[in-house]
Amino acid sequence: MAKTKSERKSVSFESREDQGNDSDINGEDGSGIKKDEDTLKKEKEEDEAIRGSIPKLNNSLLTIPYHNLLILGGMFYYGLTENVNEVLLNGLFSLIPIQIGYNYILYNNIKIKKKKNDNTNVPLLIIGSVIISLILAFPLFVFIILFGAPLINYITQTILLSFHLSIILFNPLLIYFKFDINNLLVIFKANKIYRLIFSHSVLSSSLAIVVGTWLGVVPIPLDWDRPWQQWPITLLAGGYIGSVVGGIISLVLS
Amino acid sequence: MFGSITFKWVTQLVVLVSHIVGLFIFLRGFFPSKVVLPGFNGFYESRSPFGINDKPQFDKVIFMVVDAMRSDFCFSNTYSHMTFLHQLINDGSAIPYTAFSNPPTVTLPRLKGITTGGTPNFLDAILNVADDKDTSQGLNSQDSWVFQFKNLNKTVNFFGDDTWLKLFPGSFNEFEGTNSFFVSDFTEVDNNVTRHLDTQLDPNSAQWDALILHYLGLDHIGHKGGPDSVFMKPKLEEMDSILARIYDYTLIRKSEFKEDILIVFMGDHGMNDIGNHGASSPGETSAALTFISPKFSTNLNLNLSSPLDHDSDYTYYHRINQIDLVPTLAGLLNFPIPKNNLGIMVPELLKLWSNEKQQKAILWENCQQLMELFKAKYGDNDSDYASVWNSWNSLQTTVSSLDSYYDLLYEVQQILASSATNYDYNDIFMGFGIILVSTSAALVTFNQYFLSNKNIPKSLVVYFEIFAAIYALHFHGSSLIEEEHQIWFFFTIVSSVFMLGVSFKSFNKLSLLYWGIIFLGIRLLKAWNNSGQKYSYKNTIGAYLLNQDTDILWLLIIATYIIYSVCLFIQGGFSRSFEFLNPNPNQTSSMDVRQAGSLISFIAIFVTSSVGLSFKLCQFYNDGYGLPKWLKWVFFWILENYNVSHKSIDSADFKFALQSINTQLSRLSGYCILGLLAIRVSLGKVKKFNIGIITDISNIVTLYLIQQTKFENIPIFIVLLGIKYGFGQLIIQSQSKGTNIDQHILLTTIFTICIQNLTFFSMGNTNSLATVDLSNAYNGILEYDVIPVGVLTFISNFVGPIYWSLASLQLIFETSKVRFEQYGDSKDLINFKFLKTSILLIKTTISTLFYALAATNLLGSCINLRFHLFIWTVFSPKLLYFASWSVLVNFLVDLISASVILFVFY
Repeated sequence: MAKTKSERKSVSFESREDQGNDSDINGEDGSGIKKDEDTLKKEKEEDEAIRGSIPKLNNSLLTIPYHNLLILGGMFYYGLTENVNEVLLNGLFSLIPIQIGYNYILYNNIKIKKKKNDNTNVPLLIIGSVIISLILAFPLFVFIILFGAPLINYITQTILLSFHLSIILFNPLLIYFKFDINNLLVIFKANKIYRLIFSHSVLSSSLAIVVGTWLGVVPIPLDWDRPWQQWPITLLAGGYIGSVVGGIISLVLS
Repeated sequence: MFGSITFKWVTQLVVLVSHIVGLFIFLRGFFPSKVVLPGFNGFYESRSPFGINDKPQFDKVIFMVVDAMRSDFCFSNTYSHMTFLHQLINDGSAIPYTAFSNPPTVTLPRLKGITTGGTPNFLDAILNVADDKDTSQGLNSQDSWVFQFKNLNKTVNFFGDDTWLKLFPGSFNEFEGTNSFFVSDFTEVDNNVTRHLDTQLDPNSAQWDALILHYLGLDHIGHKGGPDSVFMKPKLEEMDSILARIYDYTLIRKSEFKEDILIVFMGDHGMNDIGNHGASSPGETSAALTFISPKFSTNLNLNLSSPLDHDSDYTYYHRINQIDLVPTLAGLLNFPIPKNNLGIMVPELLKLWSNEKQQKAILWENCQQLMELFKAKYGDNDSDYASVWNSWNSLQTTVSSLDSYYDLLYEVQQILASSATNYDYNDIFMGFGIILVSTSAALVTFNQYFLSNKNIPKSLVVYFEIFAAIYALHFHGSSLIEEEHQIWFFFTIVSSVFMLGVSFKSFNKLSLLYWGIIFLGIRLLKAWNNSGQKYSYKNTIGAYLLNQDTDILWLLIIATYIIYSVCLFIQGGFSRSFEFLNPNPNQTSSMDVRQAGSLISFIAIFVTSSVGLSFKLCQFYNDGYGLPKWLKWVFFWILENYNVSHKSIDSADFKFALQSINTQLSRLSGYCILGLLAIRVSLGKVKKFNIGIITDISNIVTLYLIQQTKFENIPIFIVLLGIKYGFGQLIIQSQSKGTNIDQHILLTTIFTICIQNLTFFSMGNTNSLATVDLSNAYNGILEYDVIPVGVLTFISNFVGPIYWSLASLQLIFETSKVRFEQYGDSKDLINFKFLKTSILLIKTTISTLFYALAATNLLGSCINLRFHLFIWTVFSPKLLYFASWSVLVNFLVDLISASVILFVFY
């Protein structure tokens, strides 16, 4: 690997020296950027292959997680701003059964490619996915802390936040890919990764949850002094709203 | 011609210089010197309105200032332990107030306020920090109550904070100044004042007519431990006992000599929840002010009780302005009201004059004085202030009630106080215009280069521009400026994720490990210190290390020194540059200490680090912290080398001896570091050995930066090294995937800007003047001198930005060295000599765009909000911080120093 690198650089630098000492110091002269048609075609084929390995849905409109808005609204109704921890915990207990129902709808909407091989144990898949997402809340917690969540002062809130996010983020993905993590990771190898994500409702919803939660921190330091500005309400709202918005975006784009 | 690199450099420099010039012109217009009436006042009528049968209400005054005495320390039942004061209030001998202390709440401007009665010029706040012994700040040419009182042929004695001596040179008969140099000293600083009371309060000799005392200990406790510090209670009790002693003295003088002595007991400003001051939070602006005399209990009947319940707004009893003290003193002691006074006679004390006609005459005197100032400022027919002139005329012609006098006084005071400075609009708009032009030029040069360059992904360029634009927009919100560290944490994370997802596209396991290091490092930085002005957290790593666990702190400090010494030895080319001394130079292992050259370089590094560490150790003890047990012997060993016995550790001489050891060690360490730098550069020049020179310079300078850092922040350097290493690895990985040089520079510069700011804030800095750290500004300095102290203040506050500025050169030019590769340097950009100028040009283009956009918005926001409540407390300090960033960091460090390293040293 090191050898190719040195070759590439030295080639480009020699070509620079020939032109004399003027301003342009582009390392590579055009050739690397103007992709010829072959490579374009190749990239397209690669993306198609990846696209093929991702399941498709029968009805993207149905699988948008509308219930998330309900949960969020419900939590605000029951006084999320006054009693954050308790309402978050109760919200989590209401979220799980509703999520199981949603899982069932989602599972039934996945297009089945080869009917013969499909011997999935549906209850196990659904219940397992909930349990796994609850376990995944712990790595997610570490992740949230690394991204700047308060560790000591608001630890209960942060833990509850990671449980909520973990359920709405990982649970649909686990159902969607039937626990097959490799099918998920393959997405990152795609050349046009965002086009790929936005053409699949569940993927786009997941991305929007991450982005929504992230942007949720923005209002916190503002000096409006509203009760909903406290940690982690804005992040939670960002994530929940993001899940629906992401689904709608993908619906509109496709 | 337009394509030539010289032309581009000239354009870029013109843009940069015009940016700086514009900024300075703007600052000159924004912080003009204020309108001050020259000369000294006399009485407006032929004779004084204040006298009772030509005798003043009080013959003498004792003026006791306790630095940072917040109102609740005196009056609340939770914080206050001043039982004697409470007793005085209860029996009516003391009249308590909560006095509004006009921001900036630092000592020098506040003292000017409470002596002249004026509102401070914003620049006073900076001069408080920068101008310690400059007598140009003196008030000899300005009217003040000290001058007026002396003018009555009275003697004034002074003991306490030497700021007074700077303000009134030659005014005091007997005096001793204590320096607020050592913030960690809680007791000596006050004992130095109190010990004079034995002679000053001798009831049988009258040595003074006014005695001014200024106690600093309480402020020091606040700075070190906050308002809840365990030292607070004994200190308040000590102040209370001093007050009792003074009061007893006045009783004796009253009964034996029929003298009336007024006691003024006050704080010059308050403190916030973490014990700092300088800004405008309720805690900082609510100082205590009490007038005390037995006369009040007989002549006035106020029926106040004390202590009161705690008030979250710090409002106890009546609220007055601190400057109201000045005309009140003038009235009570019978001298003309100082010329630039904005204060108003305190209503409760006006009742001391029983005759209503005389009360009106006194207020009339106050009105005349204020109106003269008003006239000087606004002329006498400004239609905006018609109501002022109407009530002024009606007061002159008709018989009015006391209230109508007060109405006029309050109205005029408010108008004058709210516009303490007049903006110079010519300068402001000219500066803004120049900045606008230079920003447009910066936008054009940046986009012309990067958008016409097909090798750089457009997404990265657009990302940078959006990032710079969003950052610039934050200047329009005061709370965003106060909490700027949050913005930088957010942007550092966003930029890192963006680079990970879009530019580096590296998802293999190894690169995820490096990203893990970077994210962990950034998170640690965030948790290290409390930054921002709105909230204060006690659970920070820095506070834990400093207050709870000095063992771990010192383990980490020693580790930091060892790590950077090892880096200096193995990372760059330092030890290899000594290879010529080896008997067998062709031998590859230059790290082998058995070789003469390596041994010498090793010894040089070892000695330098040891001296630096010894200095930090002495400084730690000198600042009043307890050394860990296992380090005591090192400390004693250092002392013995300076012929100071540790057995005398409690004596007063010991402190001075330690002081001088500190200075010597700090200088020695500085010279050692300078020596290392000189050796490395000259060996590079003479022996033509330039491999790793940037890394070497960076590591050597880091040794100095560590010396200039607060103890609890020193371990941050380990974190910074981790982040630098992780980023260097990622750069190499992405290069192997075909990232070109322009992209490399753009990525590194974006990352540098983010992490420079993040490190700055994570070391506890904010955009408020209250957090300017002076604890390392006097390292190695005996006599105050503005230039070295200024330079050291800059370095010790901008340690992070300087570190990353050098690190960015390393990351761009010597990437392999950042990864600790001994011989993998052939591909480093530093080897392509013709590229140096253009790389630096691109780097400058990028950062110039960032600073130019920010300047445009900050200046625009300052113009837009120039009448805003926060203009002096949030926007003005930010302007000064921004000027330091733009001129000192971006221009001086990022460009000039980098050029020196690249073109002179290399």
